[in-house]
Amino acid sequence: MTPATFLTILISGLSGAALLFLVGAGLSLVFGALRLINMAHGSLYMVGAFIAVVLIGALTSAFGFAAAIVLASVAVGALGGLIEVAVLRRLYKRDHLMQLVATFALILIIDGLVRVIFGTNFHRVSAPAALTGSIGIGNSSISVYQLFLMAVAGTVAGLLWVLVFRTRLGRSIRAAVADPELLRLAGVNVPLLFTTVFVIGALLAGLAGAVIAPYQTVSLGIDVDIVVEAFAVTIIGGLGSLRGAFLGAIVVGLVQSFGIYAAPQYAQAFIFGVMAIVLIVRPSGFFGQPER
Amino acid sequence: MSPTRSTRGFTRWAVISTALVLGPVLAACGSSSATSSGPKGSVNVALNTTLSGSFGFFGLANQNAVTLAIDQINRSGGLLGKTVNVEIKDDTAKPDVASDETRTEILNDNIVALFGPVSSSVALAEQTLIGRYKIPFMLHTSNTDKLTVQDFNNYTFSVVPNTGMEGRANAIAAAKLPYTSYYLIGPDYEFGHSQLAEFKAELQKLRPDITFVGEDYPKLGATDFSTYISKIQAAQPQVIYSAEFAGDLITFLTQAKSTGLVGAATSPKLMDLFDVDTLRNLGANAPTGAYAYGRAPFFAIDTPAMRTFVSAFKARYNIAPSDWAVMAYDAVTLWADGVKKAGSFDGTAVSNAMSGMTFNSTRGPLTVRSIDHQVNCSEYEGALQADPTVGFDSFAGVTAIPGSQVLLTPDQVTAARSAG
Repeated sequence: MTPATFLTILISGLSGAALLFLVGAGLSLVFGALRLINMAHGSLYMVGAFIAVVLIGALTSAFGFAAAIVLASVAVGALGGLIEVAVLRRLYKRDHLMQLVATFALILIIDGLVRVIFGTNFHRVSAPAALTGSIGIGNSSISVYQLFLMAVAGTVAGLLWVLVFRTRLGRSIRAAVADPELLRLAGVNVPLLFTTVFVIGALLAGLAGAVIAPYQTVSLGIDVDIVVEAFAVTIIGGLGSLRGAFLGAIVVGLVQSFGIYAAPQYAQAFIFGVMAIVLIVRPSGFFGQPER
Repeated sequence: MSPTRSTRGFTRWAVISTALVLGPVLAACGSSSATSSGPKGSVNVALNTTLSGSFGFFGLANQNAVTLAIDQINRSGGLLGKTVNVEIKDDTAKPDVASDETRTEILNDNIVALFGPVSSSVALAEQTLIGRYKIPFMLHTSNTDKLTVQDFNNYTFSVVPNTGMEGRANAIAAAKLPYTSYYLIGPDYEFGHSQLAEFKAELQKLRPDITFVGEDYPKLGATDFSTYISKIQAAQPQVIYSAEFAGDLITFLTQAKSTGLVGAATSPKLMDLFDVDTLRNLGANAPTGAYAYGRAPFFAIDTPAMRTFVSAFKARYNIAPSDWAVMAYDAVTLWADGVKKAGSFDGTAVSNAMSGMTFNSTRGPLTVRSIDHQVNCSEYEGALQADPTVGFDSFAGVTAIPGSQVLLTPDQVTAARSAG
């Protein structure tokens, strides 16, 4: 492997990790605060991608591109709020099987709605010219869009850190993670807090879908693909931990890219191989708390 | 943020959830049916095709073409004086779902022909059933050789170039090009592996000077090709030969273009499967100049039947028919001609009538070979060119590699059947 090839594969891994972090962080945040395993998180990502296809196609300037991504994320955040209020908040006291069944139903409902609205065909949309170029390195090259994905994920990671550790809301979220009963006794409006957290999670999923839309085909089915990988990331990193989602995404991204380089025939097994090893060695993931 | 309450139990649930989503549970998603037992003086045919998921566009094309063809038949007086009803079901690309649907249609609705499988695994599952109940089975999308070679039965008919024919036809086209180093890439399932293997074997035979510098099989539905692109760049081939298609191809092209692997002056030549749906979707973003191969691109085929079909299709659906629509339409034509020739809807009589028959398809006259019921259809090759009359890229300098050049010989078919 030449240094140039090594670098391009490193960037491939990290840009893949960027997407996984955006999806995994929302999944983990929702789980941490709400104790809800949201199977439909990938569906929110898919909705973000479909909305972005329409908006990016309609708003073609560079500013329009940024606006389209923000609008798509906000729209998915709002959809998340609706789902939390209408469906999920009735389930927090029920057992996990009920939550699984309900969020699984959401996958099917959202899939059906997307099919009705956008049809069964695949969709594509172009990024603005500034993001479509490449940077040559020896015989190889990396694409500007990969760097853009990494920049978005890095920015989101920073903002999430500030949100969770430097704001009042963040303190409530951390309290919810630690002990929701105590939070209720302390007079915090827990239902509102839960809705807020779910909206943030949905917004992150929508953002992930929106930023990836110009870099791949958008079609039905991308919801399930991403949610499986995002679950793997959060399980590896530790459910409920943002640090875990960050590290888990990087590990999975790099294992995937270097794995495909070294042994492509096993490409589809890498992510689950890593997950299995982590579950054996450290059953709660890197930053998850073991059962007491 | 780090949770202090237990997460282990939740981790377990999350693992179970992951397995659940991975599993076949999504098979449960909708299946629509337009079943009606029909008035007296009518017969039922079934179109079980994939209408949901990322392959839904195949099913939609099949549905549009088959309903158009059947409506045309009914408007001109039906078949043998009877109205033909089409029952349309979504097989969700799952063999078990397709088998259940097919069995019900055979036993309850007395279907007299089955159209539609997209996935080869679905087709292979249905093939067993239609053999047992003696129902003509018309293949126009799925195209594994197994259907007409190893697993052949008397009721199976294919109007699509099979994977072997396609791979060998492309090798004939590639052998005429001046390039000597190839990188192969295709989706990681039966079609990708067998088409690439046939291409490689045939090209090695025709051009021993050619070297293959790499070979990769990204998963079907892959969304990130970047590592594969790095590998191809590192291998520096003159040609990227690809069997990526539809959504996967568009993702591959988007990412390859963004690294300059496709579309730049120094880029290797790309040779790939471009169907009409994909070209329409790509629009101005198609990699103009790339070598394209296709199974039935309407713009590459100039016959009176094609012109009539294209204008009827456009009049009804406002778009030009995809390759899948063209072949589905031809499948109905073949079956209807078979019924007329047999003078009956009886499965065995119709199948015997179709075997060896020549029929007038949109792709010109095609003959059903008796030994495997594979029609001698062509594979179409050309370079992508911007085409304002079509509205998206079409093929320039079209060469049709006729089926007669790339069909297995009867001896090869017999040998393959006895081998396995």
